[in-house]
Amino acid sequence: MMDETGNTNSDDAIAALVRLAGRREPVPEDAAARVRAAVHDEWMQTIGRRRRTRWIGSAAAVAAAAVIVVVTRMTNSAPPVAPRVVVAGGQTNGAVIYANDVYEVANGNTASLAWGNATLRLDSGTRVRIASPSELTLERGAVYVDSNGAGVLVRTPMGNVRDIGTQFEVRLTADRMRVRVRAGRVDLQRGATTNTAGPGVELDADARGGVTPHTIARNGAEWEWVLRAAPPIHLDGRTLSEVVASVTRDEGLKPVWFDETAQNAATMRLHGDVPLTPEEALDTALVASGLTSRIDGDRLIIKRRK
Amino acid sequence: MADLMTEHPDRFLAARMVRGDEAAFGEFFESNFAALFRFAMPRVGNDAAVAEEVVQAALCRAVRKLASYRGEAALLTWLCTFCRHEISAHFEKEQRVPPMVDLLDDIPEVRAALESLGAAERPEAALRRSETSRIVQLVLDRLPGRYGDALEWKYIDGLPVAEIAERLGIGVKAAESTLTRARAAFRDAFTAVYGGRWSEAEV
Repeated sequence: MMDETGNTNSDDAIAALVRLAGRREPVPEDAAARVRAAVHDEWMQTIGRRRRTRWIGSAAAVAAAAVIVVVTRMTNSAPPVAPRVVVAGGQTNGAVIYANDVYEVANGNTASLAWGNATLRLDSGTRVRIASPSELTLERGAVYVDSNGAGVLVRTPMGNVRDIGTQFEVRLTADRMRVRVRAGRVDLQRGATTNTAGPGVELDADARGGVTPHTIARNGAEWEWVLRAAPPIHLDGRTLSEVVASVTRDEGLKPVWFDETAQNAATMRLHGDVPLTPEEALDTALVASGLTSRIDGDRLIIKRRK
Repeated sequence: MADLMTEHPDRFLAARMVRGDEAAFGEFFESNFAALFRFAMPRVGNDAAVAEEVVQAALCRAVRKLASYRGEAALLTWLCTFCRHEISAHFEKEQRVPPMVDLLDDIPEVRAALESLGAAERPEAALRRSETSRIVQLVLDRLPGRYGDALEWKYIDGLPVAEIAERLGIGVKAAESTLTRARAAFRDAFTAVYGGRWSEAEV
């Protein structure tokens, strides 16, 4: 007889053994947090060094130099009392961002950061203060968060937005805040009031405390800046399905491998040293694989090129 | 990349980290920190502060060297090597003698079996019932990914699959599959370490 997980009677001994042993000794959460922060810091510096090394002399370095991103370190003259914790890293420029740094994107540019377990995109003219790997304050502009279930908090002067495993945008203007949810769910908290939004819902919050929900598309023109802000894609060594998954996630689309040719090509390993924009990477990868694609609602249909 | 991902998951994870994949870092830390901490604790006289220090140093050293990881040993085994080095360095610096410990996983046969998770060489002597618990916990620590956590949640906490899925951040079907694979991995690993038929263990 099987239970819901396919467990058979012969597996009962495993259950008995695990119960006999009891729970493994838990590790102190505070120690785990400290070690994680320190190791993450070391890792970010390591990959930052590697990226900087790779970029020297490359055309990509020249292109990256044109992206003006200002990182302002909010340090005072007093000596630091604790090690500075790295909370995010630039995916396009190798920037290392420490706790409570202010990150500002010049008008006409965008940026993409690895932020804790989440990916953070910043639209033109955005200014954020990043407090920790899971909390930031949006001071102006717009952020798009792909949280990967990290559970992050975006503070704004007009309320706080907490995600529950989702992709969402928070956009701040002079007298309004717009929260748009692409997947999952977010809670918008303003004082004692909490408004919840699910996929395809926008919460329009005004300065007087009013919140109006609207239905919105989960892909299309309103979300295009998210893809524009994405870091370049290096095809080399990646599979077609990885490239497709990366780009469609940013576009709010679900890939559909329509025919056998497409399905077989999904695991094909790609080659190419030149960093490409996500759209270029998708087109290049599909053409190289003998495939084509079209958007149908919220699906990207991938099939054999005729 | 299905070959690397499925046949060499540790190498795949390391490669993702080298590319700067933030999710991979989370997976790396969640999968290894607790096991490494428990590895260090008895070897530093159960001093949690020292264990934290040596584990942090070991992990920092390991992430700097990740590009050189070739997957010859399991990732946790590789990390344990760094940890042993840091423990030795700690006691040398302190000019102290490491505590005398008689750890099951320091017995070469047991360690080899734990590391290979497949070499079904029966230890010479039957392990005592009290040691069975220790073996089970060692095996749970050495299982890939979060299999050990999944089995504890299932059999000790009695969580439903839906909640295990939520904790793992995956769907219910994927969680069922994870549990099935976790049981199979546990059975193989425990057999390798304990020898003979795992079902005859003193339960």
